[in-house]
Parts: sequence; C-alpha cells; structure tokens
Amino acid sequence: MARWFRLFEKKRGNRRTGSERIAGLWEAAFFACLFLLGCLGFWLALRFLLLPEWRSGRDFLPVACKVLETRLGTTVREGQTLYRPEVCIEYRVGERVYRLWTYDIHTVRGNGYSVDRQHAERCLKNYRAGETRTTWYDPANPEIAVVERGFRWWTWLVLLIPFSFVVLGAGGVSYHVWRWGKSVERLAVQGKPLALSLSANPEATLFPFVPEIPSGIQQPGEHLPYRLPVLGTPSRALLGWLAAALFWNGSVLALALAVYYSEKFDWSFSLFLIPCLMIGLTLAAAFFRQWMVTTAIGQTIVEISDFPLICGQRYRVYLKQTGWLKMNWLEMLIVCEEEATFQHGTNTRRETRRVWQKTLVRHEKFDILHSVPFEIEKEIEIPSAMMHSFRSPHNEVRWRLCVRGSAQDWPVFERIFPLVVLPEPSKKSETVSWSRRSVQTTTAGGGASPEESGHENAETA
Amino acid sequence: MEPRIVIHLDHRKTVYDPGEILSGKVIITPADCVDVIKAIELSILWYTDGKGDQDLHVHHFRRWSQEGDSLVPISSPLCFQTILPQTPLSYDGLIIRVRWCVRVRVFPVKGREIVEEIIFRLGHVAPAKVRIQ
Amino acid sequence: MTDISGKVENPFSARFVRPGAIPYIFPPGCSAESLFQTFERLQRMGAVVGPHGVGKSALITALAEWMEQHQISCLRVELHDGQRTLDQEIWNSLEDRSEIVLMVDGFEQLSTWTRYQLRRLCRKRRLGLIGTAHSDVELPLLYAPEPNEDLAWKIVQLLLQRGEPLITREDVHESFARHQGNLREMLFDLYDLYELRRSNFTGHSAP
Repeated sequence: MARWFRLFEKKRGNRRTGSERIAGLWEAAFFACLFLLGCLGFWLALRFLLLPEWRSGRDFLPVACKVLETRLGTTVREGQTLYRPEVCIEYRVGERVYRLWTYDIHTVRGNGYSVDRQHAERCLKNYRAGETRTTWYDPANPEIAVVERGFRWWTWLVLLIPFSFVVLGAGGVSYHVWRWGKSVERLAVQGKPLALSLSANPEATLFPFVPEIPSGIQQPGEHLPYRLPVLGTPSRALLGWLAAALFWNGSVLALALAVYYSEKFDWSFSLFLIPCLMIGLTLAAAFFRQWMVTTAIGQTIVEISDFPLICGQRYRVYLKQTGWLKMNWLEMLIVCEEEATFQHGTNTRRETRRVWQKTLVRHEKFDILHSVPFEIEKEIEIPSAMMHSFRSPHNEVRWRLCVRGSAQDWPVFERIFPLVVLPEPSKKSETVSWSRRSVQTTTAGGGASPEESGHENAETA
Repeated sequence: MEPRIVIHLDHRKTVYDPGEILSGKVIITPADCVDVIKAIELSILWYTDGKGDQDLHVHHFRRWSQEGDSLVPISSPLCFQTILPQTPLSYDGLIIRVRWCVRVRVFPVKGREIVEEIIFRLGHVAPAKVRIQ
Repeated sequence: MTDISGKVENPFSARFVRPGAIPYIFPPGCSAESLFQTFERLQRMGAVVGPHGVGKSALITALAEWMEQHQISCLRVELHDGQRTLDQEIWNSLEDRSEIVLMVDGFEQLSTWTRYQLRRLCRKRRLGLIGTAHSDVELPLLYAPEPNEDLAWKIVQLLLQRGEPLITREDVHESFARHQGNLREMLFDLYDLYELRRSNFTGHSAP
C-alpha cells in the first residue's frame, strides 16, 4: 500500500520526498474524517440516547394510569438473550383511553434491553396489577407514555468517545488550516519560535548563519522595548494531555460497556481492563496536574532593552512572574550552549554542552500573589570575545535566558527565552560597524522596530 | 612530475576581521607542469568540526580550467581576493569548531587530485571553556 | 583541520569516526571476501545484526567498497529514524535492475509489509539483499559484529595516527566498559578526553 500513496511526508536526510502539500492534504483529510466521525457519534448519541431521556423528563405531562399487568420482555440479539421490564398501563388523555406496554422512554422506542435479568425483575416488583400510578405522556403524541423517567449515568460517559474524536479531529484540522500556504519561515516566527530558521540565502544577510530574528520578538514590551517569546507554550502540553486522556479513557469506556452488555461475564477481559483503567486514571491525573501547574504557576514575562544583543555590550532585562505561589526559589540565567548532531543510519545523536552561564537573578523564600506579581529588572553584559549565535544544519551555538523556579507543592519549572547574539563589531573596519536599523532590516527581513530604542547600545558600537 | 601547490596570503596574515578583504595568490610549481593540469579550483570556505556532522559553506569559489575560455595560466601566480563576511566567526568550542580556510584543488590530467589548504581565523572569538558564574 | 605536521585537532571528530572513514578491522579469519562468499551461499540474502554502535554500518560500508573494487554493483540505502518504507524512486530503480546487491542500513525500520515486498522483489529480480538490524529480521544471519576491547584499541590507534598520543589503553579499557561495547559512544567519549588533554598539552587558555 505504501507504494501507491504516501499518507505522511517522509524526510530523508536533508531532503524530503513526496509533495509536502499532498502529504499535508492527506493528513488534513485524516483529521477531518476523525472530526466527522466524532460529530456523527455525537449526533447518534444525542438523537437516540440523551434527547429522548431529556424530553421524557422535561416535556412529558403527568396523568394517572392503571397498571394492568407486568412482564419480563425478552429478545435475542446475536445469540444472546436480553431482558427489560414491561408494564401494561391504561390511561386517559382527553376523551381517549390509551393502553400500552411501556416502562421508560427506551422501552417505548423499542430498546432498553440489557443482559441483567435480575435488574429487570427488580424493576417489575415495584408494579402491581390493579394499582393506580402516575404516567407521563408525550403531549405531541399521547400514544407514547412512560412510567419511569430520568437519565442513565452511562449515556453521558458514552459521549466521551465521540468527544475525543471531535477534539482530535478539530485540533488536527485547525493545525493544518493554520499551516496551509505558509512558508517555513513564517510558521517559525508565528508559532514556533524554537525554529529560528536560517535565511534561505545566507549571502543575502548581513550575518550569515546567525539564526533569524523571529517577528514575534518584535512584540513591544510594557516595561522594556522588546518582549521575548517563550519556547514551548504550556497550553500545548495541556492540550496534549487532554487529548490523550480523552482518547484513552473513551476507548476504555467503550470496552467496559462491551463487557457490561455481554451475556457472559469474561473475567480475563475484565482483568485486562484494570491496567487500562489505571493508565486512564494516570493520564487524567497528569492532565489535571498540568492544568494546575499552568494555572497556578502563571505567566513568565521577560523583556529586554534591545534586540538582537551584541557581544561586549550591556542590556537591561525585566522579569515578571505571575501566579499564586509560595516560592522556594526563582532564578534567571543567561546561558550559551553548543549543540552537535551526528546522524548515521537509524542513529541520531544529539549532544548539548553549556559553555557559559551566569545567574542574573536568584531569590529565595517569597510569595507571589495574584495582585502582586514578582518583578525585577537587572543589567546583563554579554562578554566580549564570546561566540555569537550560530546555526548550521548539524551544529548550533545558541544563547538563551532561562527562568527556573521551585514553588511549594509544585514541581520545578523552567521557561526558556531564545536570544540572538551578534558578534562584537570590529573597530578597524568601517564596513563592520552596524546600526540598529541595519541589523533590523537585514536579519529580520525589514520588520520595523517597535520602538526606536534610546538605549546607549542601540547605536553604532 | 606531480604539481605542488603553495598558497600565500597577502601580508602573511592569519587573523582577519569580519568585512576585511582577504587576498593572496596560489603558485603551482614547477612552472612547466601546465600540460598535466586539467583544472584548478580555489575555495574560501568555512566548515565545522567536532562531535556533530560536518557542515560546510563555500564563501568564494573560482575555477580555472584548460577547457573552455578560462585557460589555466599557471606560469604566473593565480591571484584571489574576497571580502570576508560578518559571520560565522572562527570558533574553538567544546564540541563544535568553526574553521575558515583557503582550499586549492588541482585536477591533473591523469591520477588523483591534489588538495592543499591554509587555515586562517576570522574574528577574535576566544576558545570556549566552561564558565559558570 | 590539519596543522603543518599533518596532525588534526581532534582525531575523534565525527568526520573521522563515521562509518567508512577508517578501514574496517575484520576479526581473524574473516574478510570482506569471505563475507561475500557467505553471502553467496545464503542465496544472496543476509542480515548484519547487532546492537547500537557495534559497527554494522561500518561493516556494510567496507563490504560495499570491496564489491565496488570487484565490479559488483551495489546500491546503498540509509534509512533514518521512523522511515517505514522506501522511496518510489528506489522501487523504480530496483524494478529495472538485476544482479545488483541492495544494502539497506536500518532494514528493521521498514514495515513488515515493505520488508516482505522487498524480499519478494529481490528474489524475483535476482537481486542481492543485505540489511542491518538490531535483531532478527526474516533474513539469514550474515554477520554479527562482536566488538571487544582489543578491537576498540586498534581503532583508537588508527585514529591517533592523525593526532597526538593522548589516549592510553587504560582510557580505552574504561570507556569501552562504561559504554558496554558501544564503540560509537566510546569514540565520542574519547573525543572529550582528547580535547581535555589537548588543551593541557597545548596550553590553551580561556579569555
């Protein structure tokens, strides 16, 4: 099958095979199918399970009825005998007298069978022939009446299955719609600051092989001119856990229902469900933990007085940590790392080595309140004679600001803010002194600075 | 007789500033071996070295060939000149190195090609050493 | 790259240790030729099996070089992580050829269906097939590299010819044991050790 069409695009070394557009279309179609399947499941569950129950509980009108007789209704489906309680009642609506076999709305609709015979018999014990009781009839069609109303708990759980399909499908389709027609560079600056991509033509830039400045970086700050983007947003992890938990638990629920409705209780299958259930609970717990972490730890904002940075120069950095936390400690580091990738065959080896690190801020034992976030402004100096930001296909020198913290009852968190550091300008050559404007236009593709910085480092060094 | 390659950088410089002009000449000896050379290639390039796969980028390239219009005038020195870029600078990291060099490749009419290169530094980046402050 | 004396800065750099950069050292009684004869006996189908870093890729590189020297056509395919099928162009090129030996580095990565198709095509077109894998992959075993400390030391000695003698047998012993026979990891480990000793040796200093 793989020879006739390829669902996903393949990457071979630095080269991709197949059409990216077609591969994207296949993926989008796959997610669209998931979404439609989920919608169909939703509609079926609503139409045949929830809506009838809801209508019988809300719209049906009460009227007195006489119980004539009771019986255990049976049917055989796929070689299995199923049971339901059935009560024959007589009631009057207007001038007309109605007589029918009924119990709840599912019985009236021809369903309501289960393998549990004892449950059906217990239900029938509540009804005695000749007694007068209340029945509820459909005002739109008085021939439909029930003696029991209310919701079955598991019908709501059934909704989880189509819901997980809808979430996965909608997420996948939205992702592809968002990506559609956008260049790799544009995607990198819009939603993937991690992929600080190189210019397609290194010769065209003033600083070849220095990662480009994402347009996100040009977001103006509130305290200092530039707000740095954070790598890997927590909401993505949150959505990931949610999708995983819904999908897994939905599947387990479907299996559990199959066991519940099967005629013979299968012990081995039920035992198999126990570890599945445990995994499901773990996923749900992981989601709730991530949710708590995301909401409690709050947003980390880092702003900087100038961008990109230049070796040997000083800058102001502003850190704001929101949330509602009792902090054990919080620190902000500036780091320079090397990353080398060795790829051969099935083995990809990536090694990172930190070459330089400086702690800019470290505070211990303090509280962060919703109304009073933690704020601090510090000066940093990029040492001269350090290596500038550099990126080639297998080797990278990267600069980052890392904010790490530990709060009571929470795991240690770390948020990374990418920096771009340019080399120190040479004092000898006229051509190598660069102004802020030339840096902006050559490396950021002509994007305008949010603010002409008044900082002393902004002009020719 | 097998040709020999000698690369000379003007002013005997080994360290250049970004944006500076790098110039020099290539001398192929002996001078009477013109008949045995098919082509000469000169590249000014950088490459990485270390624990990652090697990346390479040619900044300046020139080819002198016996075929076509650009005959190899190897009796006189082959001069070259280029403006060096701002980045990447030469770097001695812990697991990554960035090296700049002038590489000359001579393709004889018969036999294997001969390669000679001369390393130079671009910029003044200090060697990396782990520093945690 | 090299200094005036022809020495390199670090002979354990990736470009010197990657498969094919140094000659493959066969164990006594084994050679590329004997391996090819075994391959012929196995109806031109065989697998090179072993864990990560034992030299599977290096072996098939050496074998490919030997075959090329002996005018035996071979086609090398290197699969990367998660690559479950072959490109259509490879299928097309195989459809048109015969008597060629196909070498698939990372054969086990292919899906069972693709592996079946490939085996069937190779039988039909009388193509040879050699695959590398970490475990059994429906191909007869051609060779299972079993690196030992002696072999590791021989490789290190070969590499050190390009540099200074800054690595000792004792270093190899320790690193080989630490990486449990993974030669690739051992060589990357020695890169760091060499770098450390070289900086002391040449008196490098930080700014």
